[in-house]
Parts: sequence; C-alpha cells; structure tokens
Amino acid sequence: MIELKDLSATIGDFRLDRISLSMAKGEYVVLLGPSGAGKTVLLEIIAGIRVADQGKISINGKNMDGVPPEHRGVALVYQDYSLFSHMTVARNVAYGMSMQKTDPLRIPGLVDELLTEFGISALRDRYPGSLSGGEQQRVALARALATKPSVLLLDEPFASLDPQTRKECIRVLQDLRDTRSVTILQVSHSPEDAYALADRTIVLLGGKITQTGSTDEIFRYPKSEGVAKFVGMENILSGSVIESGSGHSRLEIGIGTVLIPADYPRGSQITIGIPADCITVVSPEMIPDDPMMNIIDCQIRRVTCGRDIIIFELDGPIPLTSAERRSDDREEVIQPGKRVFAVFRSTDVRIFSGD
Amino acid sequence: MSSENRIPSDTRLFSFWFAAGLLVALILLAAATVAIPELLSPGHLLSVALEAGVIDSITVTFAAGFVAVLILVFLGTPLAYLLARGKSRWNGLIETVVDLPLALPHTVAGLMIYLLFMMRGPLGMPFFQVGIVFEEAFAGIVAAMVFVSTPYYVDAVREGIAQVPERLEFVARTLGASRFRAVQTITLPMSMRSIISGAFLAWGRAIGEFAAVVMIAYFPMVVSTLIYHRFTTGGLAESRSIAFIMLVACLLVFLIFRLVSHGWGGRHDRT
Repeated sequence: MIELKDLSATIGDFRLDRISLSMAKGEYVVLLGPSGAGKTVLLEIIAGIRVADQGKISINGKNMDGVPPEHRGVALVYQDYSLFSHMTVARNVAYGMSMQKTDPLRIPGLVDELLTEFGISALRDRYPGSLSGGEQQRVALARALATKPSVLLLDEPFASLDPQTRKECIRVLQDLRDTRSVTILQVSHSPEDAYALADRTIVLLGGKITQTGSTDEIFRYPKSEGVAKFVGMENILSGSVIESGSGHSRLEIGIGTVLIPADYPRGSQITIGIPADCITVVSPEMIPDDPMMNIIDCQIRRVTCGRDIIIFELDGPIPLTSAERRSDDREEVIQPGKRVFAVFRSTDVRIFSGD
Repeated sequence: MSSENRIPSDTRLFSFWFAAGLLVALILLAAATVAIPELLSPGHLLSVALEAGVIDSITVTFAAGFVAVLILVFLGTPLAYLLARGKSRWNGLIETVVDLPLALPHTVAGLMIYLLFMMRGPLGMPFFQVGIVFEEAFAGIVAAMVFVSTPYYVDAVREGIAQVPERLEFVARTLGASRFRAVQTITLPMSMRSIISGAFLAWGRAIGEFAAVVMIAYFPMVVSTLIYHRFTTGGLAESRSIAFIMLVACLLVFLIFRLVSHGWGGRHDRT
C-alpha cells in the first residue's frame, strides 16, 4: 500500500538513515520520536515536498520518484493545521476538490457532507482565525479527506491542544480510523496517542527506526537502552556479569547485584532496565522467600504521590525507583528515611541489546 | 477603580515626545508654508490649477506612475516571491542589486537610464527600431520611474510574502494544486495588503522623481520638472501653486490608500 525503502536524507541538522517501512491499506501507524528526530521531515518526504537523498517510496505499488505532491494522493495535516486564513471554513474544505477539477456543481454538496461528518456545519462561513484549536483540527482533517487521499499524514495533531480538546480530537481520529479505510501515519511524541490510536507503533531515534511493534511492546518491552530512555523507563542500569548458569546471570551493579533471566559469559557488560511498576517496596518482615526474586536493602529518600500512583525513590547499593498503585492502607511505609526492601522478579528485568 | 489596568504615564518619556514633536512639526510647518499663502489667494491658485500645461503635467505624472506600478506588479511580484522563498546564496546578491536604486544619487540613476535607453543605447536602439522612443517621451518617464521605484515595491512585497508560511503552499500542493496555482490562490491573496502598500509606495516614489526623469525626458514635463521649470523661470509664486496642488493630490491618494489597506487588514480574523 505504502512502502518506504532505505530512505535517507540530510536536511539541516536532521538526518534520516535508511528508513524502511511498509503500511497496509487502512492501517494506523504512530511514529514516535523526540523533537528533532526528523519526523516532520519524513512526512514531507513522503508527501513529495522534500526530496530524499536516497531510497524509494511507492504508494499503491507506484514508484513516487519525481511525482510532485499534487499527484501523490497523500494529504498532510501539520501541527498548526495550516488553514488558509483568507478563506472561510467551507472554502478551505472545498479547496482540494476545486484544484482536482471536481465538478463545481457537486462541490457544495460534498463540502456539506464532510462538514456534517466532522460536526462543524455551524462553522461553515467562519474564518479560521476565529476558531478554537479543536475546531481548526476538524477543519484541517475535513479539508485533507475531501480529496480522498490514499494516505493521510498527521504531524503532531494534538501538540497545541489543551487536555480536554485533546481527548475530543483523539475520539475524532478514532472514529475516522473505524469508519474510513484511509491509511494513516501519525507522528507524535506522546504515548497516549499511540495507545489510543495505533495499530502499530514505530520509534524513530537519531534518524533511525529503532523499534517496531504494538504500543504495549514498545512501552513495556523496549529492545534497546535508547528506546527505554525515550519511553521513560526508570532504573536503567549497567553492570558486569559475575556468575551465570541455568538460564540466569548475576550482574554486579554499583555495590549490589541483580539476577537477570539469561546466560551471559562472565565479565560481559550488560545494560538492563527494570520498570518502576515491577518493583515493590516492602518492610523487613514482609520479605518473600523466593530465590528468583531480587531483594535489595534500601532506604526511602523521597516519596511523590500522584493521583493514581505513588513513586518511591530509594537509596541503597543500587539506586532504584519504584512506582505502585496507591492504596490507603500503606501509609506506614511511605515516610522518607525508613528502611525497606525493594523486591522484583528476575524475569521482570529487561535486557537491552546495544544500540 | 480600573486605574490598575491603565499604564501609568511616565514623565521620563517627555524627551521622546519632544523629539517626535519636532519632526512632525517640521513636516507640518513645511506644508503650511506652501499651503497658507495659496489658500489666502484662491484666485491665483485657481488660475494656475486650470492652466492646460499644469493639468497636462499632472496627468502625465500620474499616468506614468500608474504604468510604472503596473510594470512593477507584473515583473516585481515574481521577483519578490523568488527572493522571499529562495534559499540560494545568490539571494543576498540579488537583493543588493534590487536595492541599488535606493543608494544611488538620482542623477546617477538618471544617467544610467539615459545611457541605456537613449536611441543609441543598448536597449534604446532595439526599441527605436520597432518604433518606441524613450528620449523626451512618455516611455522614458516610465522607464526612469520603474528604475527608481523598484526597491520600494519589491521590498514591501517580499516582506509580505515571507510572512505567509511556506507550509500553506505545501498543504495546497498536497491538496492537488500545482506550485503556480498554490502561489496564485494562497500566497498572493494572503500578501495582498503588502502588494497594495508596495504599489502605493512605489507610485508615490515614482511621481516624485525629478532627477532621473529629467535626464531622459525633460518633455513631456512631469510635475517635478514643471515646478523646477517655473521656479527658475516664472518665480516662486507660480511654482508654489503647483506644489500646493500636488500636495493636495498626493494627500488624497494616500488617504484613499489608508482606507483601502485598512479594509484589507485583519479582516479574516473576525467572525
């Protein structure tokens, strides 16, 4: 449906390095990456606005080399929506159709259908300058879909919205995904977007695709240290193997040790991550008796309460962060300075390959 | 009650008001020096205003200015677009070339125009062969006006276009517009205010030109030439009357411009 093969480009400080990606018809892919990862540039290359140094793009099996943006069937919605401020909402939505030589008599009817679909009929004769962020986004989507593109590219569509409007707009896109079979590639830096919308999530770091998978895989099981850091995994640690056998190794980190679920030769340098929500904080009398458990003697340095979770920062042989769901009966543990044990299963330790 | 919402007056800005006042007073005083004696002798003013020579001269000046601006709109708008959007290292050089007439003494500009467009000049000769003459002709006036007013038009339009985000053109293209159509339907309409203000600036500059015009075309006389001519031959009173008529005419034109451009500004941001 849409296929990128070994796409490379250098534009200013951005570098895209041999990006390969294929999307099926109707698939919704969220491309995650930090600001400055070249995500917008990638979308502009797919749309034909910029030219890649190398690589191929094909859409519906057709090679896009030398095909100008107006003939690609790709619609692009920028972060700021880029509405035409000198045209009414209706004329914005009609723009693409009149450029594509749709029968002028049919345009008003088609525009009305789209305005109704996106719930913006009342805005018909307004100018973009008077619309809220959420309204502008709906207009931008209606305008983009008016040309019946085979691919819709969305550049950080929620970045400039307040949380309430953001939720509404996510719902608009969910509806769009469920009712139309348009292929959507959205760039974002927010995990919520990926969880809410993506059939598949891709991480772009330093101009390279570093991991592809379900959103849960990316956030729960990042494959590399870079991805783990990007998705905000806590407790990323490095150490060397001091003993191993029967599917496990013991890693020396700082002045402590951690049991990990894989065999490595002694002396190997390994980087691991332990999700904060896999670490439980227990008082000395509650220590479980399980040889596959890591049990680390710590002292609570700081406690941060959120609405749903509580975060413990722990001092000890290995500095750790634990996150637990809040419950009301654990008040006695949470004072800073208290001696506690951090407990986590060896199988919860993620082992990273080198980036 | 609402005093905390008001900015307290700051007496230290007195020096700014003083400086600003001096400059405005200078312009008003100069205008008054021409206007007051004229208004006190309306009979003389009217007789000068109705002279065929004066009417012809004003007509020629305004018309040549209009033609010059028309040429600038057709040639200068594409140039302004390329300068606003171009990322090439030649841009700076081209901008310097465009702004050259701003820095040149007008007699130098006049000489350049004369040498280029005289009947034996590199452009004057081929035009002469197809029957267009610039020396002592309307075409010469237009050529000189275009030359001196180019930077005013191109710079104003370039700045206006640069303020239209290029992304809007990109979006237009993904919606099916060719590059040319995108510029035509998005960028230029959104730069209309700058195009109009650039056109008025250029026109104002063009009708005021004296030195460059007079070197290629003393006749037909533009107003500047006429005023100078009357000043040196007929005396102060005659030239002052023409000056006053021009003052009023230009004031009217710029008032109209203010009204027109005000209508264009910010209209799209309202519901």
